Amino acid sequence: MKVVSRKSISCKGEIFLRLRDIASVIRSKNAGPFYITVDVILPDIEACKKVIESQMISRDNIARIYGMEAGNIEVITHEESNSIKLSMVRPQAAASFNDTDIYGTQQHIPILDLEIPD
Amino acid sequence: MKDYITCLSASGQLGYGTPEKSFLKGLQKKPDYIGADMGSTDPGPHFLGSGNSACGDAGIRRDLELILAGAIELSVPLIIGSAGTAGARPHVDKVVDIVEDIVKKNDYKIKMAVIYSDIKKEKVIEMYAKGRIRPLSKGVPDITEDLINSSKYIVAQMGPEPFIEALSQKVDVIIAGRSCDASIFAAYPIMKGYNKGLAMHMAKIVECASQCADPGGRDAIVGYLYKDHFVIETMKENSRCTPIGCAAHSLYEQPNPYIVYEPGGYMNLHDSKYVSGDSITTRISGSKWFNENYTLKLESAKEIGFRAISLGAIRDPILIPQIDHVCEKVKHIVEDIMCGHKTEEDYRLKFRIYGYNGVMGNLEPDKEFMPKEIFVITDVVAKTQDLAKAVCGVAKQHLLHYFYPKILATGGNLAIPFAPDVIEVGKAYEFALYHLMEIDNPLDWCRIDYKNL
Repeated sequence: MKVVSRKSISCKGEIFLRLRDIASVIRSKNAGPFYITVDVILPDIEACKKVIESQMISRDNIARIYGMEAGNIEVITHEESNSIKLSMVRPQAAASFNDTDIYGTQQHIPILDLEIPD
Repeated sequence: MKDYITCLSASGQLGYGTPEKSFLKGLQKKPDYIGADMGSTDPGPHFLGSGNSACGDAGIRRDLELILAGAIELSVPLIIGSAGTAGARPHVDKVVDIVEDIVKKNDYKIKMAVIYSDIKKEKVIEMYAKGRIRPLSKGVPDITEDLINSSKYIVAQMGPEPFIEALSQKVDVIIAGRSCDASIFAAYPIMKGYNKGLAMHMAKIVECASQCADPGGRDAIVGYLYKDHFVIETMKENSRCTPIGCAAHSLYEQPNPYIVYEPGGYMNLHDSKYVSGDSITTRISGSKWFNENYTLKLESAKEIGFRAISLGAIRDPILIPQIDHVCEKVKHIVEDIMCGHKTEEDYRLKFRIYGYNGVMGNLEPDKEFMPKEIFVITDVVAKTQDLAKAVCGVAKQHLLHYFYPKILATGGNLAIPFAPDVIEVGKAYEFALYHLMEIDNPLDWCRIDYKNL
């Protein structure tokens, strides 16, 4: 098994944490058959702000990671639950021939290892 | 006099097993009504397209027996929405048949309302011609007459109004077709004059049973609705509803956690406040409702052909690194052999390669990883079942015996776990309509039948 380190250090000495080691929930799910929504719930507001400030979950970065137009993505902060929500148009409708994930529950994988400055 | 309403939500997916202990605990809270959601588009278009239910009849019967007995014991209305998974006529009729059988066997005496949400194609075409139908969001196909005609069943998610109409006739049980989840649980308090924003928000939380709790689960949940707030309490043992958990639930399955569109308007949750009631409950206030032009969400699923699949695994370390290349080659061989069937309507072939990129496809972030074994689903959708079987068989056989570079294992490439190795799956479907239709009176768009059993 490949072991991924929990922290990485850049050449300038900055320390990064993986999103999966900071968040309490990272989940994806259909919001109807034509949309997918990804929720990142952080343990407290400080962690939530840290992730927002990192710009790793910005519209443009998510568009790059998921290979879609920024216009098809919304990023909404929900401070009441220390959360960041990404909603995106599904590249294919749920259960259409090219779909691999009818409920949309495994589409959070590409953001698990985003590096957030500590 | 009691100045609140108690709502017991028995299940968010009736038919998959409602935990009995927590449901019975919910009955002790003396609910004014019991609600259960039974459907969703989540399991895919097959159920709406075919008229089949996702749960087996035995599972549906088991859950209905439990909650019907509870409602009759307390003499409170039982409200079930999106009956039989997709909530079209065959789904509703199946659930009604099971309820009637349970009633007969137990000598219950009930008045039942059956609410159908099916909409005739001609009516949809008429509304389309008037320009009153639009796609719900980006990604939804453009509406055309062909799209409307492509589906056997078209349903419209009903709002609270048909439930209120049925409840006003003093029914004991409501079995409703496709329903907006929140309407099932919000109708009763709205009828009693409670604040609609709070009623809808409470309904939105309880419709998933104890999903919002910590730890979450499928267990029953209770909402207590007062004049200016509501309280959420899970019936799951050793679990609690926290302010963060309840707030986070407004994110779940919704594109926007603050503005939630429902038939007839939207909830605005910007000013919602979540505070601890006691150590295990949460008190919520400030949620608002705004009326808009009344729209119904239309749903349908169209046939796209017939599916056949073949399942096989690969363990050979010489073949696994070449699998993309081998699958491409096999696709070309299939094209040559099935050259009388050239278009996408004739057939589509896809190798789903699990252990490699079967889930994430091109979005797979770890492209370096070399798996020890992979699982291949040869997936074919074709215009007839026989053609699907034929194409799937050709593809499977040529993958089984493809002669790749550096091959040692000339006996075959796939470990096939069972026979027949080509499985005929039946009709395949895709979602078609997912559109909003502007209407004047929601009661014109459903049909309510009353039965004394």
